[in-house]
Amino acid sequence: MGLEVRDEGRAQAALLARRCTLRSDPDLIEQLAGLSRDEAISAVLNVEPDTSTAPRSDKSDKIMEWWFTRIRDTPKSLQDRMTFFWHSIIPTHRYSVGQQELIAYQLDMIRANALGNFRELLHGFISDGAMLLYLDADNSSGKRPNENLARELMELFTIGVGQYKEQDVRAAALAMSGWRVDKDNQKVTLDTERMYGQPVTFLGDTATWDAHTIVDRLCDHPATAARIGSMVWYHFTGKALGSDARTELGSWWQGQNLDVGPLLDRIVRSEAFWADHYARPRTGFEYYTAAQKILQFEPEKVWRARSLGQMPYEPPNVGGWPIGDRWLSPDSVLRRGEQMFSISLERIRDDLKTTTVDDVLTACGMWVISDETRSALTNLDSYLDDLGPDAVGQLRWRVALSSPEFQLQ
Amino acid sequence: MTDQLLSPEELTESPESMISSYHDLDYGGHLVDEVSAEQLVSTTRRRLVLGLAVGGLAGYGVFRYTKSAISSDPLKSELAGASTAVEDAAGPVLSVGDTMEVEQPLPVADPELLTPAPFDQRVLVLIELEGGNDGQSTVVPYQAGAFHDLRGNLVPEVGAVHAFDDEVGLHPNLGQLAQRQMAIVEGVGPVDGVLSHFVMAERWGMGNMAGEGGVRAGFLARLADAVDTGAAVTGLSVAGYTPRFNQSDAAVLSLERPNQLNYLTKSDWIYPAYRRSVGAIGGGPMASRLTNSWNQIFSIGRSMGAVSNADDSESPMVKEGRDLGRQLLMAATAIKADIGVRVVHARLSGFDTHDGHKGRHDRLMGMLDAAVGGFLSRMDDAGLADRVLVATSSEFGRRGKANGGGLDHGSASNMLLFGPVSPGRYGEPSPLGDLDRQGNFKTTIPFDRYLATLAQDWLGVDAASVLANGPEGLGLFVPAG
Repeated sequence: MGLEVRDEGRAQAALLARRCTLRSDPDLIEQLAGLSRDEAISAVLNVEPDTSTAPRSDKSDKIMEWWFTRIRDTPKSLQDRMTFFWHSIIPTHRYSVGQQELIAYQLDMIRANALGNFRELLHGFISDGAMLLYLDADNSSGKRPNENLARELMELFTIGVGQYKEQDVRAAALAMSGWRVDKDNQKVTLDTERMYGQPVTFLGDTATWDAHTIVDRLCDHPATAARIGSMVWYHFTGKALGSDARTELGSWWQGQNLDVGPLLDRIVRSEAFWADHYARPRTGFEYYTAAQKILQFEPEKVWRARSLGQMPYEPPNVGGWPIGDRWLSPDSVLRRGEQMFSISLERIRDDLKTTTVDDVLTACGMWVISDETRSALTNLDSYLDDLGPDAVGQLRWRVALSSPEFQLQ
Repeated sequence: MTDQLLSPEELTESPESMISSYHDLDYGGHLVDEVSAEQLVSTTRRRLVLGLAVGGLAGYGVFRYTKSAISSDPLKSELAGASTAVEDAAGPVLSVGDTMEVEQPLPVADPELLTPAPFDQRVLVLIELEGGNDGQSTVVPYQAGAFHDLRGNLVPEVGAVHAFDDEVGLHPNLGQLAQRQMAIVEGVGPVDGVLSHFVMAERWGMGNMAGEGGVRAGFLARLADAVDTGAAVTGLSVAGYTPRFNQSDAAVLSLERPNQLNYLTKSDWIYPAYRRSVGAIGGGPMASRLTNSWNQIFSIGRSMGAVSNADDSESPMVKEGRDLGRQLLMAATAIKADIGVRVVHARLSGFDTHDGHKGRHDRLMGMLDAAVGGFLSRMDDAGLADRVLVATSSEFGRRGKANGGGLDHGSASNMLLFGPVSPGRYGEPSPLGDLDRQGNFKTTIPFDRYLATLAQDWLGVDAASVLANGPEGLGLFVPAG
């Protein structure tokens, strides 16, 4: 097996684009390829956050259409990549939310904090209407505390299992009680009548805790920075950290006040980031966003993301979506292949007939390819006499987007 | 440092392959040379590792058993007086901490009945009745005055009920299924449930009756893993994505529509060329997994294409069984194709009958009847009837008393099983005159015991390996010889 590097500079640019944005199309790659590595890293990391807001629609598909359109039209989409990352580890399901406007509010909240500070982001989640409804904190009162949000906050969103006791879950549930989501105007308020408001002992300290002091306490805990930091590390490098490295990264990140920017900077400048061109599978969302730009999917057809198995705000459970090899499973492969045939390529691209193998590779951001992929694409020419250039052109796109190189990042 | 603990086979796995969620990074997120054998096991063979809050339930069994029915026709068996053979252990309704010694007569073989194929040939088809199916409109206590008091004009027409015995009968629209070899399990529900669809569907789907935190793997995924022999497809959802198959190690496929496989089988120019090309890609990092996946789905496409029958789309199974009929047609095709499917998930939605209960539930029962009836006939024709069990599940039943024209969220419900079961009523009916605090039918059979029945008694999978606290099955089958 051999790997062909078609152009070293563009190969590096493509690696950076695939991992730090949600696109890998020529516009961005050409721009980055002209820069030094340091300059290119700065160009994708130092982006001005977009402050536009999602439509206040009662249909979540409309909100997603807006988001997918933004992603498609934003070359340096680190903010949206991180927004989806935060959503995928701190998920909310639209079904349990009811008023879908709350999805728009939460999406705005995550986008506003995605590249900011993890502590601020968690404060945002803990008083977010959609999150309160999703994890049953809306009905939690001092008299009848609901433990769902308190538990997941510790187990999944911060310190992880083994760092707290059931007593801490009960204490946090009491401390975090009293939040209400108004069904009429979707405003979130703290009802002082229904909150507990008494001292409880949480992680060894007795005080009159509330939701925000609980979040602060959890963010001060070294396990949070180590856990979340290593998730971000995996997301960008495709590599898992050993336990010593996790601790080291965590204590360093705590020293950075849990600011997201320095963490990303350190990861993207690490050797691990640049070690392999293909380190992990693209998830359904990553595959969808990359393909939608290249094939110009109509953004209103948001069901394509659903068909690919990773529709935002429809996580399989509160643990979020699977990562890793799940995205190379027969199920995932079947869906991606099916998508390739569910679109009429000639309707959306007028350059099908003229494309050569290298045109397609360039359009798909594939600058490092295996000999097998190159020969599979080249061998399609043997169908020219039977099928004609149109059909062969269409096939090239489908095969390229089904290749390992396009399914990995 | 621990290389010697890993077999050469395991060492070829990249560390990423052990990670299936961000939370795995906590436990298995180590480079290969740091992974201990225990860690490897805990991440690649995910199992329930739970403490369970429900004490005192183990060993509990309320059991009610109609000794083998006289013929496969429940109507006839009822007429022949089979109910005289009922071992009635009608005791107080379950509450946490109770234990009760109950004699459980083992079902015995009856030459006129289908007996189950060996464990390794059995297939489970679990149909999720989504929205909360009313157990008492499905298995109707048609003689009980208390039931008519609760439900008034929502009670199915008594004269049309298919009497199972002199207490209960199947819904009037289950005529085809009433002729089948079947079992009823009554009073199945949570011990300490809530009334949220989302929460209860999750608890059922994860086989997590106590609602413990941290249970992420689907119950059907655990079953598929337990029976996995490396088949191209061990778990199959014909209802699209389902969290019930979350985190399976066995190969699982979810289909939404029959035509999803078209590109795998079509012979028009572009399809074979595509298949040949992607099949040849192979080389490069992680590509072997992808190639394996392509090969698997191509073999599925070939096998399923070979047995699918276009005429079926006009059959009553699809015309009357609607979406469930289409789903079960896909399931029948996959099972007949003999590609290794052992666990199937299907879904019929629309049971959330807060209003217009009667008309809506009537229609749903008609769909269930046509779809499952058609499916069972296909299994009969293919000679597979002794290998396939169809079982229902639902996140909860419905409120005892009508809210006018509808029924609000409830608790316990009644489940149906079709196939080589020992016919009869199992479990204990929820008492009609003793509803819980919210006015719902009480649980007499904790639902993990129902799931244990499917796992252990039907598939031969140790219940303790797939459910917390090792609940006991209800023994609905003639023991494997």
